[in-house]
Amino acid sequence: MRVILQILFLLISSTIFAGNVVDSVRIESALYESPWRSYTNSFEYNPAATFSVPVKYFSNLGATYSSSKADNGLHLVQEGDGASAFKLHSESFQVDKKYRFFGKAYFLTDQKNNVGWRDVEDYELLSPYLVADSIGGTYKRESYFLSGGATVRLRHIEWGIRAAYQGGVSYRQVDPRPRNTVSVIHINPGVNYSNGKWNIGWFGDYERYRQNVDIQVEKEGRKIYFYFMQGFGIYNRQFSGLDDTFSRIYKGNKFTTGFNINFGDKIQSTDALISVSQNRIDGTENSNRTPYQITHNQITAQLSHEQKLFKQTLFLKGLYNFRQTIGNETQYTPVTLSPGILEWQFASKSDRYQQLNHNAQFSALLANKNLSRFSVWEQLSIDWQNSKQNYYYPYYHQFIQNISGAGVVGINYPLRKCTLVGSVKAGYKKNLSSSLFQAENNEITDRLIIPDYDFMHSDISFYQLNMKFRFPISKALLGNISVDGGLQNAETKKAWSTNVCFSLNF
Amino acid sequence: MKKHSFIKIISLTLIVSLAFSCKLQEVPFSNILIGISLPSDAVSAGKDGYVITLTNIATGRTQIDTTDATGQINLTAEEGVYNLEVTGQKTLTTTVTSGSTQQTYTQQVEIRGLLEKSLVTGQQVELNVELQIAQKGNGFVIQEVYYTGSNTPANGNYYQDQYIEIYNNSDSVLYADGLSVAESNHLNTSAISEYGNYPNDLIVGAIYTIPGDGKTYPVQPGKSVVIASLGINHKTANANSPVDLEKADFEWYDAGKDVDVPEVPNMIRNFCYSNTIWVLHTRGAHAYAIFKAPGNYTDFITQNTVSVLTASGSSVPRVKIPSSLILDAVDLGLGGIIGSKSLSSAIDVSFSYCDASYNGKSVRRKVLKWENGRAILQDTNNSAKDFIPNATPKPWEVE
Repeated sequence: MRVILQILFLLISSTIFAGNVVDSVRIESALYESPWRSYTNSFEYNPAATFSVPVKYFSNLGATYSSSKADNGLHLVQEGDGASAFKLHSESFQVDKKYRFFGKAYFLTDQKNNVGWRDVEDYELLSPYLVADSIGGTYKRESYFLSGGATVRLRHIEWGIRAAYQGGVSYRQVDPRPRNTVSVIHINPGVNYSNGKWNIGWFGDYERYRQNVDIQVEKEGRKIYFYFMQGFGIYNRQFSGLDDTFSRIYKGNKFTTGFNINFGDKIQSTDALISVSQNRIDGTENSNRTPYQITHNQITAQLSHEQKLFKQTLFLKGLYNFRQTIGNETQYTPVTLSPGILEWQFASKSDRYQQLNHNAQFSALLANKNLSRFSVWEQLSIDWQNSKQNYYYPYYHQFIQNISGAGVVGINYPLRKCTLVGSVKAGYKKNLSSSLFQAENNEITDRLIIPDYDFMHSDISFYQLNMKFRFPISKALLGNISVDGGLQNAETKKAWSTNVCFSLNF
Repeated sequence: MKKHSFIKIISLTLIVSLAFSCKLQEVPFSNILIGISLPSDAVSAGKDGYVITLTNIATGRTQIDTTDATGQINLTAEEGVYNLEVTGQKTLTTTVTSGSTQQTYTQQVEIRGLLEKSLVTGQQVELNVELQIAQKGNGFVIQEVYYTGSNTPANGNYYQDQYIEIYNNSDSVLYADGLSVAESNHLNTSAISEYGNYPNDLIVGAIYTIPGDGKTYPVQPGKSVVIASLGINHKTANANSPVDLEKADFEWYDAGKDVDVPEVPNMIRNFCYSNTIWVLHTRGAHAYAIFKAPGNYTDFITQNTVSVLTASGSSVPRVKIPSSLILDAVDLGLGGIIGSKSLSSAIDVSFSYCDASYNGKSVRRKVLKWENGRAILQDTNNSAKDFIPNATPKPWEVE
């Protein structure tokens, strides 16, 4: 913990430099955190696409506390019904002649309550091949993230690279006690060709993922039934069983590549980005068994456009995301090599699980880019999601199609020395179609599959209120206090969330 | 020109992306030809009417079919590892010729067989199950095995209150003299059985025998004998113990190493793998059998001692008990799971279990029916059906 904070401090310290007066810090920070930042986000994929970062410098150091609570039926079982988190975070972006430097870091400690049916971290990534017990409980986590990168511009070409490391441990403090250690390494190179109005870029990303799952039952003589889940309530009966300890290692390699293109002038700008990735994760157990392999194939395509309109700027963005998850299962047969020496030998393997997710989003934002004046901005967005899961033999399926729409109205209100920023959001998620077919008559079905299905295909209205107050602390230091509140409502069930953040910009 | 290039790049990337989506590796299926082989003394029973249950050990899914006169059936199943169970109710007819007269006897028997953890891969697989006539106990049967032990108030482990109860399931007086309790050498937690070369024997690591001259210890119909690890009131030694065994009929006793309660007669330690005391495995993990050796035990053990290899590769002596001598037996697992069985399907086609060690639970035989105030316990040689798992220990009680 101390080491992590020291690293965090060093990273933050390195990004601080004096000389930015508070007014320009205020404008640059407001631009960096403006609602239209997400409309042109090539830089998130391509470290060389710094043209899409609207500022020359930005440094932020903050602490955020958040908490949430949901009624039964208004949360995913594996997510828990409530959470609290404290996050210490920093981010920086600096331009220095032909170089750009940027970095992010955070330390997170959080707790999720009443988490059920998973003894692993990153359950969405590793589903459906999770190990779980039927007890569940409070899940705690400590996680840190460090990321840094730089670009260099040589004539028309900007070369960039970004590296990131995420580490963490998550655990439960009552039996059974999982202690899951996660480490993720990223290398993200990119290049961008810029010629006047055109920017064309390529990027790649390699991610190495590892999670060591170690579960212990500390009470002597007590054993817990560990389920090796396979989706739809199916679990492997050959290896599931009562035990007082269990280990599994998930190792993944993810490769991403893609292009970004931008065409723009002072009046308008158009961005396109396409990214494809493949992430292959092996779940390995003792005796050299790798019973599960999960493959995620993903395509993301986005197109955005901004245009001057009525003395304001209209931002439009369309995004399509397709994700295919394939679960491959290997069966093993026991063979005795000599008395007492057993080897699990390969018997058969096949793809048993498939999930196909289509997601299309469209949003439009009308805002004044001049943040030194009072302005009101409006945003409308539509989000369509189509998710189909299949299990092959027995043939089970789940299908959910949802659409949601939301409207946001926000203000930017610069006062003499400080600024008030706020927004109000209201939306509604409507289920268009859904079906579930499975016939596993067991506890997992009753306590996980059906509650999650009910939640995912329920109609929900949601509301969000955000207020942020920026104020000068010294000549080069800007303080921010923000408060967020969210509410979800489905029939008589409610879920709420709050965030309080204090941060400094310099 | 530039806009065309833009569209070309986007189109090319989309085409590559669509091709990127993987084709699934389909679930492979096998055609399984299942055949049965009848024991020589049951050939006349014919091969039709046997119920075949094929169970995938990973998915737990089963397929059930019945044989015709050829004794064969074809099933299609996904590749994997399977258990194959065969059962059939048959009437055997035996004709005895004595001089010029012939007498015909009919006998209702259950014929069964079990093939454990068979690998099914490839397009065509043939499996053959050797069947045996199930031996049903209408004499002594195991009524209860309390092996888990109990937890102490200080959260310690207490195993001294273990016992085995043997019940006279017949309608006549039986004598417990010479009746032995044996523990399988095989650990049921192992994924596979290592004694496949002894299909008609049970390899055991412990044999304790009730003394007597043949008529010393009569057991009335519907009554039982309780064999304790230690014949005391365990409720005073451990408040959490569920049993008082002060009136136990016998103790298994390891002279010089064990605590002896003089009021309770000791069994004879005829054979034991342990150099110290014998304790029932608190997680089950073994089969327990009762049998009577023909003649004296010293000769029986000498004649039936075999060498088996341990995990470390050393050779150790164990005793093989022919299945024909076993009066009753029960295979035990843990929490509804068994790695592999100790007993042949003719003796016990399944297993019973408790959920954990030291939980104060036992496996207890069910009552089939009551006749004139006497309970007849269920004995179909199928412990999953005959026994109540996670039962509350109740020595000398029938309910």
